[in-house]
Amino acid sequence: MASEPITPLPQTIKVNQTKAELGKKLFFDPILSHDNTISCATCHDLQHGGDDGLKVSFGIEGKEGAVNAPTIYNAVFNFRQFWDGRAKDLQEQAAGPVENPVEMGSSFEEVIVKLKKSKYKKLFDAIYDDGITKQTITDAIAEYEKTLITPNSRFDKYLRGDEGALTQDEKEGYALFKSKGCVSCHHGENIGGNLYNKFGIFNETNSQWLGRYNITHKERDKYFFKVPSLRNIERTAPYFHDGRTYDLNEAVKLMSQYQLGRHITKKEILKITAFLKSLNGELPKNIEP
Amino acid sequence: MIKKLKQTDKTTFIFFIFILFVFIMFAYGYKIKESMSHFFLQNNKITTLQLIDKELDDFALSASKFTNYDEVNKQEKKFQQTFETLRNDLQKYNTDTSALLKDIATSFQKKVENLEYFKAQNSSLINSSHFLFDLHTTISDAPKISLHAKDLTNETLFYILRYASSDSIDKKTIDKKLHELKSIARNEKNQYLHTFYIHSKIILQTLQSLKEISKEILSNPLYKQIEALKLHIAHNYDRNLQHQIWLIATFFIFTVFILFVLFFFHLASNKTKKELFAFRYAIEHSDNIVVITDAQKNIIYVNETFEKTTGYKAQEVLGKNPRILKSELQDEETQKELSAKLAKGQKWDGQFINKRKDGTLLYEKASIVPVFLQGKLINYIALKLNITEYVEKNKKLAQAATVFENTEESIIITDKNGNINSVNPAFSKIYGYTFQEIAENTLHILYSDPEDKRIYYDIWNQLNERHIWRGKLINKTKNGELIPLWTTIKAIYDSKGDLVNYIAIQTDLRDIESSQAKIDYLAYHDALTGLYNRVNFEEYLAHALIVSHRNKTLLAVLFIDLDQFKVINDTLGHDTGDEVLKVVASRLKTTLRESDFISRWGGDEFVVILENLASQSDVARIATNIIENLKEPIELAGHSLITTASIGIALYPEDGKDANTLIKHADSAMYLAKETGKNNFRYYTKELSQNIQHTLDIDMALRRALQNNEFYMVFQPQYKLKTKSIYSVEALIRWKSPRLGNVPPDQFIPIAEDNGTIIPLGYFVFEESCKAFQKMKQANSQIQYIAINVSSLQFKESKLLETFLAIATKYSLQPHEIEIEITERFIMEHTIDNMNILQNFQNHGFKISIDDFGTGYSSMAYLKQLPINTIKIDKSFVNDIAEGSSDNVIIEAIIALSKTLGYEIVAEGIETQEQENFLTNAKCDLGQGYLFSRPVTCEEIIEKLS
Repeated sequence: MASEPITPLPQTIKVNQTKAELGKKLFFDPILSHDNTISCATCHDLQHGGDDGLKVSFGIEGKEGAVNAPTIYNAVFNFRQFWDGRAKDLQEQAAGPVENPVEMGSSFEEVIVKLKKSKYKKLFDAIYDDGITKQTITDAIAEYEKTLITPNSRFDKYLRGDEGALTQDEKEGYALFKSKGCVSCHHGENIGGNLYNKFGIFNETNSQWLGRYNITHKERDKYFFKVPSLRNIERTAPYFHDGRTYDLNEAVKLMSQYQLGRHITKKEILKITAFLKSLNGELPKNIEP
Repeated sequence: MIKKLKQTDKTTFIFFIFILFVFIMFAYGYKIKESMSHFFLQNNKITTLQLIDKELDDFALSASKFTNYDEVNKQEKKFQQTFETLRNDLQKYNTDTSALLKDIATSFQKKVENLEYFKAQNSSLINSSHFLFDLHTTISDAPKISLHAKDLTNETLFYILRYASSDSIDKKTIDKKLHELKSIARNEKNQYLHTFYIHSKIILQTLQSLKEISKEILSNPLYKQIEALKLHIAHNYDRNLQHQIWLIATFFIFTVFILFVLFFFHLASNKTKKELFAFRYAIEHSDNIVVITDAQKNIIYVNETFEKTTGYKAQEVLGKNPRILKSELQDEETQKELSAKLAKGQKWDGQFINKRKDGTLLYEKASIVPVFLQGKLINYIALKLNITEYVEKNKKLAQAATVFENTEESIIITDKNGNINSVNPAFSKIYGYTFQEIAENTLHILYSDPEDKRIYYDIWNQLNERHIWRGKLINKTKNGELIPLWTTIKAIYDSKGDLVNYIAIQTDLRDIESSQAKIDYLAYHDALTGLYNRVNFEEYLAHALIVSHRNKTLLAVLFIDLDQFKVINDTLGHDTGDEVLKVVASRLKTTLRESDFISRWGGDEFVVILENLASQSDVARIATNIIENLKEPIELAGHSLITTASIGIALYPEDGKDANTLIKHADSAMYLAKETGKNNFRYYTKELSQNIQHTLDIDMALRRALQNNEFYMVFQPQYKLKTKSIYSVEALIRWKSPRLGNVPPDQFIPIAEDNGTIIPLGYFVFEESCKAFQKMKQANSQIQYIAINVSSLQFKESKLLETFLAIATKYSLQPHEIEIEITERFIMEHTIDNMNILQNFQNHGFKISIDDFGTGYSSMAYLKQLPINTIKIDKSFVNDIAEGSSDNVIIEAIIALSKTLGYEIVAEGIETQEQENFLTNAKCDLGQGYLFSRPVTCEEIIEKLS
């Protein structure tokens, strides 16, 4: 098992607890949105997989987003953030929704003015020399998000040598996952989230969104998306960037057609989904607002 | 010295530079070390970047091999982080690397993008290739598929594998095969073949993309750019290092150089130190006085000679101004000139007349130099030579010259051979020769008898042996006169003992010899009258007494004193007085027998010895004759003067056996005659002797009484008769002698006046009275003044007024608070001089009062002209106040007249109520007497006052 393509999540990572505390407050506070209706937690429901369970999210005034909200859990382990990878890390990501007109629809100028008039003034001044800035706001939020990891899934336990952690089906599902080629994209500690790939290598996927092309404007990047993590996959339906299915079996089936160009039997799919469900990790403790 | 001080400053400066250089060297050394470690750090980072780049390149060559992309991401991230820190560092230290860094950043970004694509393609390739192998196996085993189709799939797979590993396979060949496979699949309607076709096609595309992207990644200039950066930094570093090594080498050379310079200065300063030591030694042991002051002219150094010469120790004068040496003789002009020159920064030369510590004069020839260091005044140095001896010798010489010129003695100076070198004016006066006439002659010219060799031989002999000869010479003047000269000749030798001069000093004995006879006469006679003097008298009496004793005859000593002679002397002058004495002398001569011995003892005292008397009555007859004769008026210069005489007589052997007793007793008898009305004679009696003894006792006791504090003051109030309140007091002296008991003032004051103790006693009285009055005044300011008795003799003191004023001031008294009481006698006795004195006292504010008024002869009319404020009616008048007494009228008259003249009246000695009533009614102002108060102490007065 030494050279498994998937590695277990670390139990903890280094976090500045003081900043994380502040970040948590901000995370749950709609003050960051223009009309004080939307918080980070609105679309990243920590009790339910770290996303909103919708195909696409709704921002202020019910505005509809373009893509499916990815889970916040284990985002720290992704090599880039957003589906198109336009943010290099959590801090950069955190700035995005605030100023996105269809999400929080605000601006940092506005947010900073609001925060300075609030209880946050004292909290920031106590931690940051600069007080309240875009930099410090996103830093605090990112720090909190680092705490949102889900280690110790049954599969991780299995990887750490606990043979009994998985059922036979699940083990077989893992074997299929590897042999059918899924693992060539979904590997590493986050089981995905460490490369981009084209959505639909063998078949036309009819995606409305061009993915990474929007960033690079290179022909070869059309329909390229960040390969998403499969951790907690059972909790993060609907699937794909456009949330085209809520059914995990269906998602596995679509993947085998689009990406692998091969037929997988129903039985094999069930075994694979059984394996995928073993990837649910332990939720962190500080997720109550 | 100035130069040396400058050098010291320079040394300090150079030493400072040296320290600075060493510091800079250390700083530079540290900087080099820092830049070295910085360089190695950066170099390590660059190497890390290169290693990562290599790894990423390796990854780009690993197509179709499964790789955990976490690892690749980790490497990219590491590259990114390392690069960021490197960039931050380099932007700080190597500013010219920004272009290179930008290139690296761009290339890396491109590489990352390409790697992302590579990752994606590689994942597809892995999947497809695995699946294609599986599918190929399935197709091979499938019975329904034609052999041709199987072969085709074999070939296609083979070509794809070849294509994957080599560039020599033409993709078109594979495309052809695929095209064929596509037709067969369609013909045979086989899903496997179709899938195989699709996958092969995609794999082919993927492979092509991978190849391209791999090539692109490998051709990325990132590595070269990093290498360029590395070279650039290394080059920079080498250059900087070189630069710094050069700098540090330069500094090192400079430092060594400075060290040499310092060493040189050290040697120089050693030399300077030795020189300074020598200088110091020279100064300390110089015969010159050396004084060094600071710029403020405070002494900071003096040498031993200074201490020896001035008597001041160094520590006594350090920090002080040299002025402490200044004497009163020092000319102010010199001082000014000195200050002016020094102020201009110039040297001053001149002479001081200073004072030693013991006050003796110190003449100094002085040079004072201001010392400047770099234009700033730092010291004054005074070099002074003690020329006191020289100056004093000069002075003595000058004095000697004056003596030489002015003495009455003839002085002759010859050389060692007796040739005349110099003579003084007295010589010319005595001998009649001028110096020119006798210059270079020998003394022979003066010899009266050149043939008489004996005396001159004697002179030269003595001079050779004793260097001095004294004796009388008879010399010859220019005009041949022989003159006696008392001569002293001295041989003068220099310090080596060689004879240089002879000096002859001669006193002309002509006058002396002629007056010798006169002197002999004068020794025994009174020069004025030609009568015998006292010395002669005493000798003669001693002799006469022996004769009288032997012959058992009677002898009398008569003491004759003129009664008014003092008045004549004071009013008409001594010349007239002398004439009177001459007349008296001649009258005595004519009156007495030739055998009677008449002498004058000075003043107006004549003493006569009468011998071989038949009886005592003879003496009385002779005395009467004398009195009668002397009573006759003396006509002198238009004056007709009357002098009477009082005569005291002592008889041998009755009144005394020896000369002294007889003289003493005659003197006492004369005083008795004076006291009993003058112009008569008295015999000595035993009783008289006792009185005289008492007087003598008082006389003796008085002389010590003041020293022994036997005197004290009492005060008798003078009160307003109208109100019976104390107005003033009179100060009265009391004497309590331990031997004589209480002696009343009327006994001892006349004696004090006689023996002169009245003068200190008078000051004592005045001072004690002032002291007491100050206290009384403090007790009660009502009291107006104090009356103090002043004897007429005191007014002879020339400084009496000044002394009184000084004493009054000492006790904060104004003159008008003091009344000076004089006796009526003073006014009577004395003349215009005394009036002036009194007037002067009054002008200074003192009150003047006449005591015992009415006892003398002064008339009220006379009073008018006197500077007097108060009249005190004598006690004797007050005593006699009684109903119908004639004195009552006198008192009333005195009071009335005094009031008219504006005097205040004090009645003394009021003892009864009757007297007081009378005086009050007579409008007398003030009273004094036992009725109101006896004389009491100051404390009692104060008690009364309060």
